[in-house]
Amino acid sequence: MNSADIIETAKQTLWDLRTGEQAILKSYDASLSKEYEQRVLELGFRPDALVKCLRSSALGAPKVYQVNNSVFSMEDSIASKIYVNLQGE
Amino acid sequence: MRHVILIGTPNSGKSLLFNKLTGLNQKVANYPGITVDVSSGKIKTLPNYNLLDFPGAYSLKAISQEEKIAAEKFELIIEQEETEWVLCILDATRLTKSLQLTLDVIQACHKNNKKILVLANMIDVFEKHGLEFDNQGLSESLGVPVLEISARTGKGLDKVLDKLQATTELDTTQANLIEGMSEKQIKDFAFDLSEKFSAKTDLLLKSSNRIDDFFLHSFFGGFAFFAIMFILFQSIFTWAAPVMDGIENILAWMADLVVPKINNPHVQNFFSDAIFGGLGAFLVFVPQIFVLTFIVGILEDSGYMARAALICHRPLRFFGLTGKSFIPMLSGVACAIPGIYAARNIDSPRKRLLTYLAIPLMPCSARLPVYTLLIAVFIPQKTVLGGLMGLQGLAMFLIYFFGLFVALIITALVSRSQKQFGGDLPFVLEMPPYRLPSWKPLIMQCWSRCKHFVTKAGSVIFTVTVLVWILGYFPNYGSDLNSSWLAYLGKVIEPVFEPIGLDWRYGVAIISSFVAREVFVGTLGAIFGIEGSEENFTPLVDFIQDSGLALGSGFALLVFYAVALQCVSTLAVLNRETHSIKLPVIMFASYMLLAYILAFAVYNLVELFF
Repeated sequence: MNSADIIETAKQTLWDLRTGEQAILKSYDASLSKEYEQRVLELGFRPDALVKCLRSSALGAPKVYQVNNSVFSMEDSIASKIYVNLQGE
Repeated sequence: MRHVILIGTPNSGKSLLFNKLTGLNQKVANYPGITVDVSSGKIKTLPNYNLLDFPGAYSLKAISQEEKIAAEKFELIIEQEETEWVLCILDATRLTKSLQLTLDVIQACHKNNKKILVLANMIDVFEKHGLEFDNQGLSESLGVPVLEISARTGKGLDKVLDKLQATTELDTTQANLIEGMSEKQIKDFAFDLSEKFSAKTDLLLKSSNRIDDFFLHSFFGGFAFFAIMFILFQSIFTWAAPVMDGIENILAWMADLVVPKINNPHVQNFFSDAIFGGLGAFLVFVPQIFVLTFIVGILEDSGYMARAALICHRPLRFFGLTGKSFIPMLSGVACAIPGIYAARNIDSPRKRLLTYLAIPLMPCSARLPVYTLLIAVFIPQKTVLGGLMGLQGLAMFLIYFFGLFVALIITALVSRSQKQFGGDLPFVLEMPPYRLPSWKPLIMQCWSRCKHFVTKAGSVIFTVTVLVWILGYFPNYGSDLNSSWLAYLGKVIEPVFEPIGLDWRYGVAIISSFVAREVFVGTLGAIFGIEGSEENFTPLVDFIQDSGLALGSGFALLVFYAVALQCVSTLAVLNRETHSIKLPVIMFASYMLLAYILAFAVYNLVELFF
């Protein structure tokens, strides 16, 4: 396994973000249905969008994200299927 | 009558605009077979225009069953000849989430040759921050008029009304461009427009995020949540109580004025117990409905409701419910009626339905006299754990918890077993910026809801109260409850309650308490010949203990009352809120059956082991 493969297998998702972390949205997992992909796109969670995690809980509660000028809470079933590049990497 | 459709994304200020334009002249439109609430009302200053308020949506491309129904409904109404205008409201401070729907609606309007106004709301926020919104530029890009408004301050509404009355030709240049766009092109165009016209600073977000540092803090946020819920609960339970007493006193005073003037003693009784009793049976709920609607309205308008829903979401999700189910259920601990009204805040009709299933099982205050009586009969006044806990208090806590437990089990089972309850949208909830509530529309909403309850549910409650009075009064003209039609009915159903050790007298009390659960105590007192038992239990407690009622029967009664949907007011409000007799009938029958089965099981278990 080369370093590119290692990086590929260690994809970060929106759900991985901790409070205060920012990331650029990359892509969606293939398991995210087209309907839900459409919905998150409509809300502003589109590729190249800057997303900031405002609040995350250790207890698995939905996390709170800011994208553009809006704030949304999102649970793991969706957030874990949105891939991001952590800012500062 | 011309129709004007009002449509917009959630949290765009649509409801506030609707309330401002229609005032109190609104009602929830009843479209049979469709589980979508569409409010309608005549525009105050243009009474020949009927404004239809559609549920908030992020686009017309629906992804859930409810959204599909709403989108189909929109397509149906926009095709109608009576539909003249579409007002599409967007949040100017957060364009990105609004533009998809705006473009979808513009496409639909041009397809159906309908006039459209795009209303850029919350323009007062721009002005407050010294910024300008380029509505002219957006209008040229969209090819339709874009008006700056503030539903909160009323700015720009006069221009909206002027436009509605003017004959305006559609600008079709840009419209043709949008009409031919594919879904992907619409999405890209929406993104380009939001990049070009969005505010370049985080308007409102900085202060909202700072407030969220407190309200969503692991410790302080939880503390604030419980404090707010405590205030809400106290408001219904305690603060509304003096007003409820006031209503009862006013009705008693009116009865004292009217009844002595009647010569015939039977008519006197009819007015005193049936008419004034019937009026009191539903008017007494009005203060609770007003107070709860007011407080829930503050939580919703201020933006806190979304945070409360977020905090509650995970624990309630396990039981098939949603975070927004918490407040209606909590309200149900005081009284189911305001709780059912509070469930209107739940966007998903499926989750709302599940919440309706839970609310009547909450241990409401009307059950309290029944629990207190039975616990006093069977549970000794002893303390345990070194005086830390009284047995009677523990019993009360357990029966309260039992109701909640049954509620959560039922919602969990129904949500897992019924396909239409599963597959709901995953939890993605917008956190609106914190704002001060708009007081006048809030008061109007409280008034509107009380009026809805009095006119729609009040008549049902009044009718049933009079009916029960008739059954108890005749044929002996109230001289002996033990030989009334009600008693006859009690004897007819006695075989049903015999297996749990109850005779016909308890059957009579159970039937009469259908009007209001607390009537159980007074009716039992009347049957046993004990006056004033509602105010002082002790003689009734002693009588029941001396009568030898079995321990199992007492526990069975407790469990029966915890589960049975024995409240005509609740059924009447469920009927009005769901626009259907089906749900209240099914709930009444199922909960009665479940209550009986559980009571039977408890009776036999207790008699076996004690």
